[in-house]
Amino acid sequence: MSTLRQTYDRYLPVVLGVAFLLALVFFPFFESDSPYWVYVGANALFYAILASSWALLAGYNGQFSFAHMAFMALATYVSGIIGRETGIWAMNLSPWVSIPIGVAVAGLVGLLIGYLCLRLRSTYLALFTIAFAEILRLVLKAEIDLTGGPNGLYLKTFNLPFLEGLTRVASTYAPMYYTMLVVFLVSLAVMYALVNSKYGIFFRAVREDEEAAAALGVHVVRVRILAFVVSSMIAGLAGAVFHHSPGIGIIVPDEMIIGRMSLVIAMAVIGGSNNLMAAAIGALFLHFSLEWLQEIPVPDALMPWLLQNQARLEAWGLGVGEVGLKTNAWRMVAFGILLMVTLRFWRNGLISPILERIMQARAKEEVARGRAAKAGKDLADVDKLVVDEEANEGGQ
Amino acid sequence: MRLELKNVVKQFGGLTAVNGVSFTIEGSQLVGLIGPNGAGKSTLTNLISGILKPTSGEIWFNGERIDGKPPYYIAAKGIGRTFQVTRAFRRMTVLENLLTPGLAKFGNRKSRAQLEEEAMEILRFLTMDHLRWEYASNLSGGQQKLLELGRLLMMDPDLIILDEPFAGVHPKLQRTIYDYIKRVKERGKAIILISHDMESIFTLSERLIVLNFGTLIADGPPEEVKENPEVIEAYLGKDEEEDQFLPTAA
Amino acid sequence: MSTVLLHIAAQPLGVSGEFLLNLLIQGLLIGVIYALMALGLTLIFSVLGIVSFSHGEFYMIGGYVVYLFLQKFGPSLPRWLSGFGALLAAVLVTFLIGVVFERLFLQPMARGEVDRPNEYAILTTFGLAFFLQYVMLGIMGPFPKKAKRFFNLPVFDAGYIKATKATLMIGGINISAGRLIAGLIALVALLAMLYFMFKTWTGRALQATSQDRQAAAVVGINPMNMNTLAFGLGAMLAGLAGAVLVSVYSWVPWVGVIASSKSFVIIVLGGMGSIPGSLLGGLIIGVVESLGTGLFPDPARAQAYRDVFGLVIFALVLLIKPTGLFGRKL
Repeated sequence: MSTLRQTYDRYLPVVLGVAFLLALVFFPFFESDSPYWVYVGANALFYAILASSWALLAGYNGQFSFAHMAFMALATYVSGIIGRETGIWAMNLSPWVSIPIGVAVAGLVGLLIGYLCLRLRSTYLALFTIAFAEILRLVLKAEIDLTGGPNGLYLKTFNLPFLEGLTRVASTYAPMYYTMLVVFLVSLAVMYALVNSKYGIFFRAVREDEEAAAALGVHVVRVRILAFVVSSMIAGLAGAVFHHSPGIGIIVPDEMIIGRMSLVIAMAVIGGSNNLMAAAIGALFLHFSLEWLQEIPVPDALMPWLLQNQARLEAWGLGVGEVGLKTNAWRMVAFGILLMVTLRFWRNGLISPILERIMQARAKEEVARGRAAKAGKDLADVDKLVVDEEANEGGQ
Repeated sequence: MRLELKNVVKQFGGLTAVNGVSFTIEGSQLVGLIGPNGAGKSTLTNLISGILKPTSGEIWFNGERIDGKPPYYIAAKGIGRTFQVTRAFRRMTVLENLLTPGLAKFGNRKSRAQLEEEAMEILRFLTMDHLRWEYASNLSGGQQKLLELGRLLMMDPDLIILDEPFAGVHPKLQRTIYDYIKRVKERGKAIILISHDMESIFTLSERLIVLNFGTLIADGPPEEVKENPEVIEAYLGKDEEEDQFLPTAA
Repeated sequence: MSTVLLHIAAQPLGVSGEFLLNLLIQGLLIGVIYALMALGLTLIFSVLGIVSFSHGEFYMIGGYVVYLFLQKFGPSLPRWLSGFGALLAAVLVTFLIGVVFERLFLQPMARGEVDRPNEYAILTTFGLAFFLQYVMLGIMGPFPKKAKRFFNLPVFDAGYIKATKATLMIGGINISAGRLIAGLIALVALLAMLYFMFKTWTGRALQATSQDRQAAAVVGINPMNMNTLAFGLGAMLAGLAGAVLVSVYSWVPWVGVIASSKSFVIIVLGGMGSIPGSLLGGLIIGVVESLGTGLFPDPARAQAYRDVFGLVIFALVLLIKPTGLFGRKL
């Protein structure tokens, strides 16, 4: 195997990873004249954290929970309620204190739900978590005195004086963006640490075959509950930080409707639910796409036609904006179709296979080696074999 | 190593799958567990390994009562088992399959590198070391069986229950499994071997336990059990095709 | 006799016997509609082996079809004709969508071409729900719609029992025409469905497939076609439930979400795959909701908690006895 190819395979993931990180870090500076897109970026990061933490529970550990947004909201509401100055259970705490408490509560409830779900499989688990999420949402909506009801709860926003300078340079939403970026990176780090530890193996073993895993000594109870607790705490952290951010400052119960949960699930599934990074990238990409698709820019030549047919378009729920076609709900329809098609034909997601190709060059080499050895060929020929295989793949 | 069953009974509704079975296995015996289909062998295995809880009776292992404990607890105590239908972790690599029990038992004491080294050694013994990056789903049936056996070695149990290890395996692989069983015995482990392959059972076992309709009808050295009229009736009464079941050359 | 019992039951609760009776009747009326929808879900589960997470969306579409039909053809047709036409349209449209979806996305699963079928079924029916919600949002917009009542009650006065166009009054109990008609249509549909399931060849073929696919195939029933039929029928029943309720509740594209929830509650309570279970479960949930809301100590929050009762029962059943009243294991 040529050393050039070897170097390429070994360092490609690193280079791409660094490039990706740099893009995330410097994004606001590129968009400093359109604060809207920085705001979108912060939202995208929020969804990326939710999608990847859901992937941890559902993709890695096989527990298809629909309670993820419920934990997101729970931590946020707890933090908001105890953090406010006046009201029931108000303790006037700074977000730096109330957020960890909110996250801790989410973790405890995650522990409880995880425990309750131990005997539930797949469809029953999905149904039970849906019930839990809906009950929580309805209670939040009903208890107006405590939560502000359907109109939502106002939260203290935090000041980050050291990030104030950024507002001038990068955009009004830069502080919010960077806060979310930090949470995103921290969450990914935590999840990767977990996934690369023995628990990563246990998560997947339990997903593959719980009984067989137990027969091999894997403490399935601990593993399943751990997955729930970690994913619920990360969802809670994302929610609490996001909603306390300057620029948001409020949470409404309808943010956790099943529809939002499906959005997160759809992002994770389209990205690749068995790969944290794929789910995160899927979420980022899809969120940006959905925002961009709100108004599809149209060449100047076509604008008159659009304006002429405006009434007809509006009858179908579309619209005409300043630069192009307003898609409104129809972009979500396209998203729904994408979800169903991906599920049918690319079960592992669209981004996951790409990531796997990048990351597993070394493993592929060994597999090829192994197959060659099995065929009884002389190892000296293996190099030739591997090169041939790759040439064939390139031609596909 | 001491496994003791005291009057173990398992009922499913009206059906009594295991009917007051008692026996003790000590040291490093290789015990064959045989009986016609439906005799209760798999149920008994599930009872010992903790997947099922006895309706009544006790199961003791190394001085501790284990009936009713969860399977992972029992596995951690030193009982390992295979399944009739192989249950490899399909979307994990061969190496990861092996690491699972290793990490479960020794994760706190041994490093990952150490465990990988042990896994590779086992793979070499099973002549599967070139497959370590393959996903288990890409393996052939026979290789998956070997993988399951390899996983058992990684958890270093005191007692191994092999549920039909030779089923559907071609002769070359059978040889490897034979070697595996011999090697495991050499390491001082006890083995309970469930099989319909009478030749293998009779060659390997030092002791035979025979079940019929959930009841233990014979327990002793193979030569004795072979002559036991109840045993003969249990088999011959059921299945004409199995008239070759007892090897003629004793 | 029963009125006496009701009066006795009512005393400790501090309400009149009539109030209680009213709650009961309302509960039963809505319960019949719930039962109809749950029957659809049970049918899908027992033949295809999956829980359809898009069931509520068919309910939603049924409602919208009626609304649109009445809007378009209502003025030009006599009331009763447009009513029937609307119902028919709703039934046909939902059946068709169900069949198309099943053929495209669920058949591969039934043929064994899909990995992890359970997961796939959940996700793909969820995907369909997502898709349908947003299509209707695009077509109808987010503002609530309500259809006009399509049947009027005959006006009469027989002393104890009276009726205006919009309300039936029995003694001191008022029942709105919309709910009454909805309940009656649902009841007729239920009986028709039961007749179909138990007295016709196709219906019995469906049952056979649900009990043992291979045996059914051996006697000449095509399980794949049964799958399609079951899913179409299931969707249709949900659509019919929506069709009758669109003149009672106001309709938005996500009205199906809570309908789905309720259907799940009912089939779990009644036992997955059990027809009597879904019927009984529907009635129970209808009554429980009605009584719960009516007797809730704080009337301001009562309505808000209406849907919680069923969900709590649901969660408890899942934890304590997942097979429900009559069901078989999932």
